[in-house]
Amino acid sequence: MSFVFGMHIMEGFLPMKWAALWSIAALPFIIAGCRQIAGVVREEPKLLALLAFAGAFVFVLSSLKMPSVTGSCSHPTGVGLGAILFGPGAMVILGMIVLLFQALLLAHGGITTLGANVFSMAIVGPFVAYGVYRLMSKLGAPQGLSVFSGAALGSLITYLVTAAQLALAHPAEVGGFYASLVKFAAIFGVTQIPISIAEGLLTVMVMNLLMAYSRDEIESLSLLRNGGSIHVNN
Amino acid sequence: MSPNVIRIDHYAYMSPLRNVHPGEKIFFSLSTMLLVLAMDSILISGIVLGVMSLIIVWRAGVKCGYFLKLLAIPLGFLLLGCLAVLFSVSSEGADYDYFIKVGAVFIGVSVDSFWNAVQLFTRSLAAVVCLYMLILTTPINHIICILQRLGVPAIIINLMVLIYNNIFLFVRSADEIYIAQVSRYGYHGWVGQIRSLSLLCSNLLVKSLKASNDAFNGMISRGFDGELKFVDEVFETKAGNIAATVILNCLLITIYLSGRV
Repeated sequence: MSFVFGMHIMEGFLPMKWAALWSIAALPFIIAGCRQIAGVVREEPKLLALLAFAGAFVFVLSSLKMPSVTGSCSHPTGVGLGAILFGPGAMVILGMIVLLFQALLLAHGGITTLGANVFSMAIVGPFVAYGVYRLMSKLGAPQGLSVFSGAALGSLITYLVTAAQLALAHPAEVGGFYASLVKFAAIFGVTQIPISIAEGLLTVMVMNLLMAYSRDEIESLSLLRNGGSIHVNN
Repeated sequence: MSPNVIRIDHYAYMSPLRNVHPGEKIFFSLSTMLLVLAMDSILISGIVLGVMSLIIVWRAGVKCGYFLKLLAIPLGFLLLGCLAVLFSVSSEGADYDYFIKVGAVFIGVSVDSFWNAVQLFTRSLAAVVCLYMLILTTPINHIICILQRLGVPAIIINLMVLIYNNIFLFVRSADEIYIAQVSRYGYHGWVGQIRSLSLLCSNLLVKSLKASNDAFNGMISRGFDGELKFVDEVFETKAGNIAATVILNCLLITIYLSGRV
């Protein structure tokens, strides 16, 4: 593994001002997530073990190699699968810890860019993935289609938010933010759009296997997603 | 399959600088990184890049080849990102110093955008090397220990400790499944790859959930009540390390200011 085309904004790529701004933007979500998790763990200590399982699972998922699409080495983000299995609320804190460990153990992402990465990958991505998944399920779409749309759109929106963060920090001399957004989105889109589709397919296949063989395990995870149980079409 | 997880962690534990107070190492690398970001000058970034690389290879004993491999990790992102800053698209060629015409639009480079890209490249690389200085010499437990002393909420600390422990168990499970799959003709062709990978993910979930439940039962039977308690590690503080950091940073600031006048 050497050349990794991920969408983690690398260390030092954002100027101080934007690094600070995105950290502040992510902070309310982190505080809310922290309070929520601390509350449920106090009531049910078993959830601490379940959360620790979920975090490590997402981390290991993101360190696996995806089938190469454009000849580059890529990894699943785990954003869609994590949000569907564990719920977007839990994903804020888990995503933050996973992103920190990715910076410290894999050298993906960074400390100064942690806030920006948390915002795109642990907040916007999971909420969109879960929202799309739930909405499609409610509308009566087949399970596979809902999972695919959730995971693929979650991954796509993560990439678009990251492109916007980069464009805000580095606006073009001619055309400003919008011109820069188009540039970053186009350049990273070459790898990120196929990856999003591959990630959607992967998530569907994983969910199908889990639904077929491990329904009890999936049900035991529902403790983490307060309220939203996984929609099953029979 | 995921050797990097183990390799960086391995270096951190084997590092000759492992027993240096983690707070001092965090202060050293983060304060330098922040200076690089704040000054955003090619000269300062270049100096930090050189000094940090030398410390990593000589004092921290990281093999040169491995260090270069680590530097290649963010290169994909860095090159693409700098490309986006370097080139821009416009309907008028007059905006650029050098351009080519593609259909109705001009893709071009100006002297300003060139220097912006160089500045961004050196700044990012210098910041990455500061990060490597920290992660190649400091085990995660030590970093968590400092975070705890800085007042990070207990729930986050507990989760970090448990997730860190789980990662290595799960990576091993994933490796075992992967070897079993490859030896049975898995990952053949694109469809085979995505099929094998989805089987790996779903089996990994079931296996590791069971392992984590077993571990939890073990904790419960030993009196776990929602709170983890650890023995606080004691580290030796050395004023010399702090002084060296302050001197280096003052030197950088002086070079920066004298270059401006």
